[in-house]
Amino acid sequence: MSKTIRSLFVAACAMAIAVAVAPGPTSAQAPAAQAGASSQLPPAAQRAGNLPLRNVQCSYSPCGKRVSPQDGAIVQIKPNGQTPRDADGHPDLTGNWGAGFPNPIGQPGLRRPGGFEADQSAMQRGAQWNKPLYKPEYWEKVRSLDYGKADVDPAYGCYKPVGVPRQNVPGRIVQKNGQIWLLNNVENGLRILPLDTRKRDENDHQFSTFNGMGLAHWDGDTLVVESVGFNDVSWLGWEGYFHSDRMEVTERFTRNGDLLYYNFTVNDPDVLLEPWTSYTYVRRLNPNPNRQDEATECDERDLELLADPFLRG
Amino acid sequence: MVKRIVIASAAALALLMIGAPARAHHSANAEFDTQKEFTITGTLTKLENVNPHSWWYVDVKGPDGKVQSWKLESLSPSGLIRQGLKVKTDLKIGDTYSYRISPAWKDPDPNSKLGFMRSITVAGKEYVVVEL
Repeated sequence: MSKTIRSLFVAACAMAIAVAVAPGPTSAQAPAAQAGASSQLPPAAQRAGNLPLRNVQCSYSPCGKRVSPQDGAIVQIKPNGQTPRDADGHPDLTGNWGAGFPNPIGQPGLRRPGGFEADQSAMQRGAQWNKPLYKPEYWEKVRSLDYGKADVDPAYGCYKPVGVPRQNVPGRIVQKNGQIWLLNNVENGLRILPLDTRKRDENDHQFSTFNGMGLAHWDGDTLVVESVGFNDVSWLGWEGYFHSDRMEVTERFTRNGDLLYYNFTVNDPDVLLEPWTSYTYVRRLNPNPNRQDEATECDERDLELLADPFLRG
Repeated sequence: MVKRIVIASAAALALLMIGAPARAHHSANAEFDTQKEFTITGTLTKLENVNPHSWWYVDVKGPDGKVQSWKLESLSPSGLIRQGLKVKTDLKIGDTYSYRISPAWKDPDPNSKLGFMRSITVAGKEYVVVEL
């Protein structure tokens, strides 16, 4: 028994050291994530932003670092092979990107199977290290939406658009001829975006859409997709994370071998105290070139038939 | 599947890009008397600026003080937005604008009239949706 504990401890230490020594792909975004209006926060709430590493209050020096389960899992996934490049020398993101990695808490934001309408929210909340920080006057609203009935969620049921950025990493990417096609396997999940150094049309801000008006460009080897012109219908997550129709979203795609790293930053000064940068999500290239995308899945659940209409998570 | 989506999306995009999207799927004349045309001026009470067609809800006050509600069908949001109409920042629910419309042959709702919006005039500038 004690041997098991000791080996677990050693493994944990090794992981912490590995994390501290080799910064993950998220660390490059750290300054951007911290650039928000943190001056409005009390000193005790000066968070480490959305960094994967967080300081631990302790009585010895130097203090250790903590890493979230999501980030810990991601830095352990190693890429294979070379990153293919297109004619212009940029990484080619084309491919079918799948998940399915072992993850200590399961897929964030998704209900885990195994129980009949089991409410997974408590467990998922406990595992969430990274949450958008709303202005105090909206805390009650978020809480009310979060603890409302299941169909308060705008994505509940079938054929509802999920929207950017909640639909998360695209499962299929096509990069060709100055365009990038991002396909999520959800309703309204296809975006065809220009990738040709054009400037933003300021009229884009006047749209009210689920996916936003996206514009892609390269920042070094990272593909950056900036989107404006959202509606205020969709949510950022199932936890009642609403947003305003002046939200702006920046998504970043970085390919390393057969791995694709993805994160997004939500800038919504109307309702958020500071820009919120998500976890970094990782997907691996499906090696089967003949893999076919299947139709959007639909999990229709009549609220009247649910054992618990307040089901969430 | 992807190929089908790709083809369908390309086709849809191509349709959106040509000048008169109204002709793309159905005739406006089937629902609206496009020979008639007049202008109403009233309060914008609600706007659903969504694809494929946007819906504008307008309350018009008659000379007798009675309010007549209009529900106006327009085309996709991009037409007016690309002309420079600041739908989100300049238009206000509760403000008064002028609309050049064609009325419907039949009003499905007894409490409101239905019409097709041919243009909207904001701050003296007319933004044309489509000339039928």
